[in-house]
Amino acid sequence: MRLALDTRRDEDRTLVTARGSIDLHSSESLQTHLIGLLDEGDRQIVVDLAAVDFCDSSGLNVLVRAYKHARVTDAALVVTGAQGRVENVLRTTGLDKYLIREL
Amino acid sequence: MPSSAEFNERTWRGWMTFVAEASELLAGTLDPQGILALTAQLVVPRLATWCAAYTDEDQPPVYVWHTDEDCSDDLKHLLQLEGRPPSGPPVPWGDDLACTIPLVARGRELGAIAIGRAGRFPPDYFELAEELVRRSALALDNARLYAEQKSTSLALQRSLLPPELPDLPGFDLAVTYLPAGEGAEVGGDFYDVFACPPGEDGRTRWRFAIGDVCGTGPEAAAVTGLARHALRILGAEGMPLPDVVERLNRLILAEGERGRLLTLLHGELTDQGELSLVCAGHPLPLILSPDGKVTECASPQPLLGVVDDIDFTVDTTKLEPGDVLFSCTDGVTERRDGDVLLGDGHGLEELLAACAGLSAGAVAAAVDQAVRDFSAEPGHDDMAIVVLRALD
Repeated sequence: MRLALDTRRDEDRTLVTARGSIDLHSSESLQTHLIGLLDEGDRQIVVDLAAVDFCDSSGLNVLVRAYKHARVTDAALVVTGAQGRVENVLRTTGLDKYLIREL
Repeated sequence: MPSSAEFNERTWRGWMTFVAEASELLAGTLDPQGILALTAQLVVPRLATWCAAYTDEDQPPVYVWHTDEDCSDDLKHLLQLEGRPPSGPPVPWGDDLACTIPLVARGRELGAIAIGRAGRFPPDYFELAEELVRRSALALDNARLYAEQKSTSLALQRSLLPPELPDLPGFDLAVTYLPAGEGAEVGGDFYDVFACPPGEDGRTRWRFAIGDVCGTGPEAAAVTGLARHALRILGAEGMPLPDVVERLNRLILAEGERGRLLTLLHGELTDQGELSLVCAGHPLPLILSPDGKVTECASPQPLLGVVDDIDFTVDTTKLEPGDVLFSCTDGVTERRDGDVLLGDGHGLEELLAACAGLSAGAVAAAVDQAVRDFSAEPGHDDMAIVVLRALD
């Protein structure tokens, strides 16, 4: 399953809705997109993973890179809606502590 | 009747297609013997009556092809007697016209192809043969480079795994490591088991680790090497487990852009079966009891390489006689068949429950087999498994 990204801006907040699988084949497009938004000046990014069925380590790597990039550019990036396998992997890797927060 | 010009145009197009197809065939082969065999089959009978392939100037040809198989032995004999025909355009040689075309790619001579034709040897045919041999030489050189890369990767991969495993009296230890792909790339999974200096209680203790560096290739391997050596050195210093993991986390972060995410299960086992575990973002270790019950035996903590202010804590448990501690990398749990993963819906726990009563080696082998059987597709991730069983 491929990855589709939909982006909406609402005042200060940018909502990126992802649909599909985040794996070796699709993670790069997510990285380019998120880093691009941060470089364009978006300050509060929410990545909605409710419609993502799978996220492997390359996907986690992208989320961490974007999270770190946000921190150094004085922005914030959080994840919402993770469920099933995606919620499990975020919990197992302890990334839920950093990525699943209120903005 | 087509005019002569039109006929030549058609012939030329035919040869162009021939050369293009030949190139594609050659480029698709990474086996040197296969490339030479293919070259000979492309040359004979379309361009030449016979052909001999050499990989070493001082040795007899490795292959000899003749359109008439009965002439093959005579040709071999003649080649041995006369040596190779001279380089350059074909000249009279025996009863034929023949020449030798060196296999040269990127300035390196890899051998030569001798060709001969009974009767006329049109210059076009010689030029086409030269072109084919040039492409064949490139394919040979690519095969050589690939073989070199593969052996470098294998050597690097081996250096990232322990040379040998210690003997653990009272315990049964088994490890499985399966790199993904065809071995030309180093994976990010690793494991280690080593003895530690006795603590204040004087008990013999061992430490073990299983980890997964995000990504593959030499950059991931550099982090794997850093992790494995750091764990051994800090373990030998007697540093407590959580401090070791915290220290390694800082080491990885200090690598900056070269750092990679690392999920790690680091554990310590005493000769009494007492287990201490730090599970940093790694698939949780499981304990399989002799009655088939499977339980998680550590709590999730953050993976390494994200932030530096983490206080890792240790989870403790005891391995009772007959208990099996099972740990693996996500190459096991994320083994995929279509949309289904092996780890979906407690898949791994169910698999383990069926292994009650088996030795450590048999548990590792059963899981390894289940991973292979899970899908007809080859796996695209590495896989490591460490199994420890307390003997009855």
